[in-house]
Amino acid sequence: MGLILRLSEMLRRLAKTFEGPHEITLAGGLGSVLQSGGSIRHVAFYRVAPLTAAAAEPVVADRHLEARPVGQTIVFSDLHLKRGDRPVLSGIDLALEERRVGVLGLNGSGKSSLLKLMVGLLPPTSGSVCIDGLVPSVDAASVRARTGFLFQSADNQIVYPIVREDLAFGLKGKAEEVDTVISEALDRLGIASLADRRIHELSGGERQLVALAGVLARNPRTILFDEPTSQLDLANRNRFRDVLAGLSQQAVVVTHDLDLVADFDRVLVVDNGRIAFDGSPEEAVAFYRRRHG
Amino acid sequence: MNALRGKPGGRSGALAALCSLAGLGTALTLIDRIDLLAVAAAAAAAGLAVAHGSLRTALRETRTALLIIAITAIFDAVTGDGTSGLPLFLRFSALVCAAQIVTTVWTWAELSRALVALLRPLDRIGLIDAERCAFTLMLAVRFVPVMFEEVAEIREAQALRGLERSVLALAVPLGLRILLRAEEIAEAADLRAGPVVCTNHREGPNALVELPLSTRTVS
Amino acid sequence: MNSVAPSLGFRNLTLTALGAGLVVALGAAPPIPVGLLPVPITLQSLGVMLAGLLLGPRRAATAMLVIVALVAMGLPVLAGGRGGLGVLLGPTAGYIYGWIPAAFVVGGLARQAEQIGKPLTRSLSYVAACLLGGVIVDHVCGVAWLSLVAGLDWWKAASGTLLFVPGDIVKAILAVVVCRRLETLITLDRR
Repeated sequence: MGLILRLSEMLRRLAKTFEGPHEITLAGGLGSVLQSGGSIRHVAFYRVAPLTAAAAEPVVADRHLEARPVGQTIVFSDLHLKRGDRPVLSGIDLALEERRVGVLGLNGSGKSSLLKLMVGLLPPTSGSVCIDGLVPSVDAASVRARTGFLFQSADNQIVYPIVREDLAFGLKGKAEEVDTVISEALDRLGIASLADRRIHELSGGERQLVALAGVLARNPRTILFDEPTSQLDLANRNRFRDVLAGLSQQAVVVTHDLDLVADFDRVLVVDNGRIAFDGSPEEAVAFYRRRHG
Repeated sequence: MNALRGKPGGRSGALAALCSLAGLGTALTLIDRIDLLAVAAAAAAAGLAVAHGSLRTALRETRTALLIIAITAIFDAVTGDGTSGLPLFLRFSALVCAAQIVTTVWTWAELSRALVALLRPLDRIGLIDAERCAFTLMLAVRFVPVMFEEVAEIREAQALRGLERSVLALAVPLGLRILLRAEEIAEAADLRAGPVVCTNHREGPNALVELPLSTRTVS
Repeated sequence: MNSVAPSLGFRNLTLTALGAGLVVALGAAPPIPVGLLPVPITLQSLGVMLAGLLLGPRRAATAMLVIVALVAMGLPVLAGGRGGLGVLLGPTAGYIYGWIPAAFVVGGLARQAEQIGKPLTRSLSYVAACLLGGVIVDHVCGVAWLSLVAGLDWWKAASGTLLFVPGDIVKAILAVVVCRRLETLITLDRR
């Protein structure tokens, strides 16, 4: 009798090792749950080794921002960036707080690196970057919670095969709330109908919107765009301009598309790692055309 | 085409199916009686036909596998003693058909979940991290179609230069793109991985906008 | 590739996943005729060797494990659009499981060889790595499975596989050429 009890106890414990908190398998679980029309019960977030002690706490996206202006102040102080021996950026001194900032420049001028420095993807070789007083390479979690980034290739930003799953990446909280956030982000871009579609079925323009929705779902104060229209056709480019115009977040846009920056607040021109021009869009575009036209 | 899709969520039974399959495999390997094996093979084949809803599709799916099995069995029969090929054929046929039933009835999402569930005991004893495994698996599922697109793109470009028969013209750009992509995907994931808690989303400067941001249709 | 340490955690995963993607994508490409051989070569096993050469032992082996998982999930990732548990239990399954140790061996040996200064010696070492891993280890696994599960004895099973060896040697050489070209463009991390 005792033997049978022990055996069943062993079997029960063995069975338990196969069970687990449902939150672990987000993707697979979500896939099957979605197909049955069930609701998301738990949402996993991906654990990454914390950079600082502060990063171990999940960051609550700022909610009480009515009194404060939209956007953040991005400050570069005598910033130099080198890749090996090659200087990429030299002597950058900037304070960006406008709502729409454009950055023009040729390929290889260092403009994309400017964006990457802002979110801590590259550490400065000397000098410093601050966003609202936070240093990106140190307080990465806080900076990244408030600052979204859209890469040139929308494909590389979408990590899960189904739209809804990907939007949930990095979001934490009760299922209903996460659901709401996802739906809102999709609604805002007019792509609510794509929620359950597979990414590889979508067109390039749609994928970019999905990537943007993923950024919006995190409710950032600033969104950095790295050449958002370079891979789009004319129709999608126009749609993107509309979307950008209606975005309430602060936006810093690196681009070749001179029309895109026409109604911005401030436009920089980067040339060979230095800020060659800093001023109004019309003058910046004229300068750019003269230099590289 | 698949007659038995859409199992209810939650415990979809994929895990049980995988374990049963393992059990079946072991059992079949131990059995040597031709009549039992024949019954198993017939039952499995019938089950596959039912799962597919049609005999023809069932045969089409398993054609390659059965062909290989048949050749192996014949090879064995010819080089060994005459009848040893038959149990081999029956055993494999039964197993392959049963396995294909599982593949047909359960979707890849359910099976992936079952696979990760199988890994969880290893997670408990600290050997692997089940979350990372699940994530990597989903990344693969996500990006395999993208790889196909890349290959098609590269071959098209190379065909214009007359290089469509060159392995190097395909493999070098593909390898490069993969390495670069992996970097960028990692960066992008890193930027979004920091957990952001969702509460009371409607407050704040980004309160819900009534209309979508653009009335242009997406193309 | 200068990236800050934080993305290292994801880098392993993305390289692994895309490594699996490499093998799948090359499996989907149609066979390419090579002058010396009577039969066009399929590229999937070349992908396995290449993954080992580019990613290093741990990531490459994990990538092969991912492929086994993808096959188990029923996705058509093997050459010819094959997939499903049936393949993993059938007679040729050994060759697929064998990709895991094969990639590990190729990667491990390549990692040792990457320090070699003289280019010709290094390339030949890589070829040796591919032959040892991609050909010998994989065939051993394939034959072992066949004899174990199919009840064939070693010699019979082995003799069948000898047909594929010349093609595999060509693939090994091609894989190394690709790897050397990529090494001129990017520093490979084979940890």
